[in-house]
Amino acid sequence: MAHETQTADLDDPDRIWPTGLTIKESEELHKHIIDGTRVFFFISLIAHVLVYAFTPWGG
Amino acid sequence: MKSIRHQMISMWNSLGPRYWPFADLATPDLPLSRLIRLSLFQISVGMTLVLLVGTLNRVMIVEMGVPAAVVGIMISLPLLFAPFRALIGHRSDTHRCELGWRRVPFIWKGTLCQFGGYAIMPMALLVLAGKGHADTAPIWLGYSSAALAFLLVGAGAHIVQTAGLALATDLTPPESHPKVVGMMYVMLLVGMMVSAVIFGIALSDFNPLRLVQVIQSAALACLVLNTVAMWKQETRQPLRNRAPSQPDPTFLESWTQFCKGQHTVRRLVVVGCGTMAFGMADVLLEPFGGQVLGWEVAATTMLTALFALGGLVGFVFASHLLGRGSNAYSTAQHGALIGLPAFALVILAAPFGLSEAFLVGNFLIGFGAAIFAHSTLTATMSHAPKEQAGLALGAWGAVQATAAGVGIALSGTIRDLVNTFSPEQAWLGSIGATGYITVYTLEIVLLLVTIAAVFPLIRKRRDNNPSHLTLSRPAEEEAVQ
Repeated sequence: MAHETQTADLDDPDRIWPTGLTIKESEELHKHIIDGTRVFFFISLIAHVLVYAFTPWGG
Repeated sequence: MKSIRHQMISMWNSLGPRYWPFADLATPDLPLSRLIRLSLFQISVGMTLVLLVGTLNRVMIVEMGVPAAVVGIMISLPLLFAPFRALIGHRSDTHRCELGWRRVPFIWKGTLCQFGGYAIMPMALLVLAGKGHADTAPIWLGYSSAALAFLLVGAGAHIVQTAGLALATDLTPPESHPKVVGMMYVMLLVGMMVSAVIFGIALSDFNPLRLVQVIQSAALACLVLNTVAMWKQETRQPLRNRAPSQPDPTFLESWTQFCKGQHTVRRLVVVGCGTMAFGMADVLLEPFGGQVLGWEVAATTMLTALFALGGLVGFVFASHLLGRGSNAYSTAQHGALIGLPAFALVILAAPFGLSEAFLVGNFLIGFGAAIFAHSTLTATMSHAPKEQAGLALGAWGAVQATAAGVGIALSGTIRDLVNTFSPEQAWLGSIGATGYITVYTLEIVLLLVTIAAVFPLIRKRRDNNPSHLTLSRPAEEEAVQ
């Protein structure tokens, strides 16, 4: 490998199984999911406005 | 009968790995299947390139009736993000997070940008073109949403490619970089060719619903390809998140440090000049065939195929040469040298009506451009300081993408300006040839500048490494000195 690696210590008592993630790691993962959901919500909002302009619905 | 069967099996066994392209790249830590999976992000980038520059360019002008100037502005928007590739590369080099990833968060965010842009793009284009009830919609809505869509898709592709190439550099040893680059470029070409055919067939019977289906399928394909590409690729290093003994450098500090490397600026100038020299021909070859040589549309389309074939052969050839240990800058210079007769043949085709010369020239331009691009990217990967791989590849990408975009914009402008102001020149064979030939001559001049600029880099490599047969990291070379 081109890079020196410092992999995770699997015996770390802070790790919770079966995921093997620490609380901080799972919080970070959760943050990515929440951020992703916000992005999708924002994108879908714009898409709905545009679709409404193209083919208005609701009479 | 049984012995024949055994002989056949042993023959296939002995042939297999030898003739598999890039099979010799694999190591026990990094099997070929994993490398192929990683290179899938290049397919999504290739698909994005074709959709933006090729398919939508045509569909917006021909089928949707959007003014060509507006289309030109929309297509050039992703270029605005190109210079930020260096910043993205630096941020991924210094990224610290609990999960211990450096490249994956960027590939994921880039993928979200691409997906988001594609998700709103078809509706934005339909509103921009005033289709359906959109003719009563405020005009700013179409412009701003289309601009946002193009910007998001372009930015996403730039982020994904920068972080993806940096990840490939991290995962592979320096001696494999030429083959990795070859593989990445071949996958980019495959992505471009396959998606061009699919988009062409899917949009042959154009209607608004079909446009929505095609672009949103591209969005889903991007998401799937990039996710599969990055899945379980980067080793998690949670310990990197611990507070460093000294603070991470800022972008300015990193950039200053990066530029202090010997010949760093020269290397970027070489990439810029060479890319612009080859890139200016990209959009002019087909119109040159049609307008100056009087070819039919089918014949000019063949030119693109020939150009792509030249590129494919060039990538494989460059992989072979560099894999054997040839000096990357020497190979880049050869690529630029091939461009000289190639453009000369194209220029000569106009006054003498030599179609064959034009075809050969077209193939050679693709061939030379591929060798040049492959060699400069390989050199960038191999020269990247250990902790600045992202920054080095980002700088390469920023210069390359900006030079290609500026080259394309300049070529069209110069052709039109020269044709407008020059008198009809019968000796050039056709009215309108002067503009094209001015651009091709300018490309030859740029190639000569590139060739001259490369000389000190080759000399430096020879001084450092008398055998100049092995690729090694400059940091290691400098440490030895």
